[in-house]
Amino acid sequence: MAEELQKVHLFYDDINKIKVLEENVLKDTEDLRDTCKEYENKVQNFEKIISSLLDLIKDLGDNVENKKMAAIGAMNLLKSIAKDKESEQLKLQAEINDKTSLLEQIDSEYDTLQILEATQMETIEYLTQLR
Amino acid sequence: MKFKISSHKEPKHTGVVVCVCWNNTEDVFSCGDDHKLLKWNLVNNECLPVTTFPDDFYPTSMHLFPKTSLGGSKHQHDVILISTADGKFHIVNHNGRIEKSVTAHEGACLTAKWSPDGAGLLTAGEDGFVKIWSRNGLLRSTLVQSDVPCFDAVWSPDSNAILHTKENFLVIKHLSSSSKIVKWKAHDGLILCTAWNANNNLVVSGAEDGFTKIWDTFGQQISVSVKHDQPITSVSWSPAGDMFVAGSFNLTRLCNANGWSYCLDRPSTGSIYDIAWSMDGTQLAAACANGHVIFAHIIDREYTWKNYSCTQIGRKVISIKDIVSEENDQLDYPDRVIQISLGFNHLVVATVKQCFIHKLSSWNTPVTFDLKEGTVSMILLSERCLCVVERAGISVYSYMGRLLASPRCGGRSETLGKSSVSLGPDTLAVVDQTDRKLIHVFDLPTGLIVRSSTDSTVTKLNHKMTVSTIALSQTGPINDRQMALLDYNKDLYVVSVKDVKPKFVKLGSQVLSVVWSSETELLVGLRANAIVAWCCPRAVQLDWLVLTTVSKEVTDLGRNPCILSEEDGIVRICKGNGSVVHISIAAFQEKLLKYVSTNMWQDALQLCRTVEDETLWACLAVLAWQHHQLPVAEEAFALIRQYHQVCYIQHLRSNVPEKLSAS
Repeated sequence: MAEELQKVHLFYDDINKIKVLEENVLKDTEDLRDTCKEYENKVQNFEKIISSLLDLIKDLGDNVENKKMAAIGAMNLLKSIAKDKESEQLKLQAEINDKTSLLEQIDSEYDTLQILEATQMETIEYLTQLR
Repeated sequence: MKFKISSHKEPKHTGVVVCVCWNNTEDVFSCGDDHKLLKWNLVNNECLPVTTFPDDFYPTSMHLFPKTSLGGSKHQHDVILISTADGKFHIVNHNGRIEKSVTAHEGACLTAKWSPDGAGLLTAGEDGFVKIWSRNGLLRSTLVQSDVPCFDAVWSPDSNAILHTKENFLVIKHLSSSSKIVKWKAHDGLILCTAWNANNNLVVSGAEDGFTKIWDTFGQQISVSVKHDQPITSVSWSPAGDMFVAGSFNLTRLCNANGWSYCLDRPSTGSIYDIAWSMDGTQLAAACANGHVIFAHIIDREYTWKNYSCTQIGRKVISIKDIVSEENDQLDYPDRVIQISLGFNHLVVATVKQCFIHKLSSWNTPVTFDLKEGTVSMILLSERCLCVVERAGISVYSYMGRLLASPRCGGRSETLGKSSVSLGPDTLAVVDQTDRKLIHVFDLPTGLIVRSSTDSTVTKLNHKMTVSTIALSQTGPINDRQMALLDYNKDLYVVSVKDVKPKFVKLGSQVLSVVWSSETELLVGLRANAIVAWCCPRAVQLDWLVLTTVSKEVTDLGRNPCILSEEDGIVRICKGNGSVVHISIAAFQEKLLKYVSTNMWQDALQLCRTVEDETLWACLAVLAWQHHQLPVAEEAFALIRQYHQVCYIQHLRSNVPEKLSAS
């Protein structure tokens, strides 16, 4: 009976239930299915890891880009500081010149006022002596 | 003296502002590359768009029709002349409507200016032509043809000549082609801007080499500025001609007419393409490359007289201080302060609408009167009255604020300089603006009777040379009123204005500046290296004049020094570099003059005996002789060894005693 059934590819299993597949094939199939599931899980995990890695790398890239721009900016700033300094120096020099000429003006005014005071004192002394 | 600069927070033009001009003392027009014509009001700080021109309208310069007080139909006023980059000039009315457009040049028309008399206009272009047009835009003549662009051209103040730039050269060309041209190399770089002042007849030029230079009309250099880092893009004289302003990249500089700098400002505005002064010379507007129009007004003007000093510290605030009593105060005014004058125990302040007369002993209760127009260009003071020079004319007021006279002298009064008007206690002298050999002397009503302006007596004095400076003596009765005048040969003359036949007595030559003492009849003049005091300018005999003249050497006065004032024997001189020098000269002589003017002959004698100075005795001798004080004159002449005069006096005293006692 079993042989006849085997001819039409039907089998009994251990608990005498009728089956389409041979017992060892069934086992293999189940094994395959489990392995596939495992593989799928692993692939998913891998994808997760990879995407987080990508994010990380992207962040890093952005950071690097930012830093690069900042560095370029700083470098330019450094370059322009020299120029700024120069123009600032010119500005201050012009201001100093202005103030110096003003000082000269005031100095000479002060000088003549001192001379004037001296002559007036002299006159006062001369007049007091006469008294 | 410095600028207080203000501007709106946001630029009102979206592009470069190219040109500005003043409509009246509070209104400014500006025009820029955004094709907009804006009108700014400084009182309520508004900015209104007048019009927007077509898209191909790129202005290069703008000029408002000159406002003359005489003649000219009303509708001609407020006519704006704008030149554009497509070689045209446009006549625009004050509503912004283009009345007329005329193609004038190939390439850009770089500048267009009305003539000062309003009879015509000039344009200068990239094609190197300078053309003269009638007021209606008809071509009169092509004055200049050259192959290099003409960047700037200006009219002479009398409208008879033009000044134009030609690369590094400045050229003055008269309209009557017969007279020759004056041409000189002015700069090492391309000249970008020039200005010609009506008051001092000087030219200022600014160039790409970073210098501004001042020239007289013969092409002689008066002064040169310090070097600026950037090209000078604009220059402008103040209307009074006592200072000018230069604009450059991020920079404005205010300079004295002698070239030294009052102040330097660095607004971050980009290049300043155009600067215009208001008519009263206290404010200016500047067109900036970043779309701003900045406004600046002058503050920190300082005035001193005896122990008082006052400073303008804000637009409407003046601080006054008595140095002796250390009293100080701040005076606030309802309007913007335009002119300040301090002297003769009074402080006179002109604002836009009113004039305030403060007595220095009680400065908190001023006398006020209304002004005709808000453009006071000058205030002169004398012992009894003050004179206000406005665009509308000259008016003389008493210190109580009453109008005494408004003499008519013809010509435009805003071009009157300080040197061509002089006020005495009872007379006013004005040099004629059209014929500068002629001087009008007006008698001012004194006392309480106010006469109408028609019957104020006018004396006309005619000098043989062009007069540059006049000065009236400040004391004495009106019949002794004397006027000192300097002509273009720098010769000094004195004339008694009340004589039937006025005689010009020459006192000296090579005199640069002259001033009368404010309290006596002492005349002080300045030569290139000496101060001279004429104690008795009315002494007719030459040897008496020589005997009564005191001279004192002074060195390094610099270029164009001038005397500011003379008081109690102390002369204040403004040197060429702007510093004020105080020098004592003829102090005893002035004291003597004071005694004589109050008839204190005994004190005068006492002074002479004490000081024992030959010049002093000579002064006393001459003065006593002039005042018929024969005993005093006799003693004085004896001491200066003028024995023939002594004998003459003795003869007079012994032979005609009855006449002497009668007189």
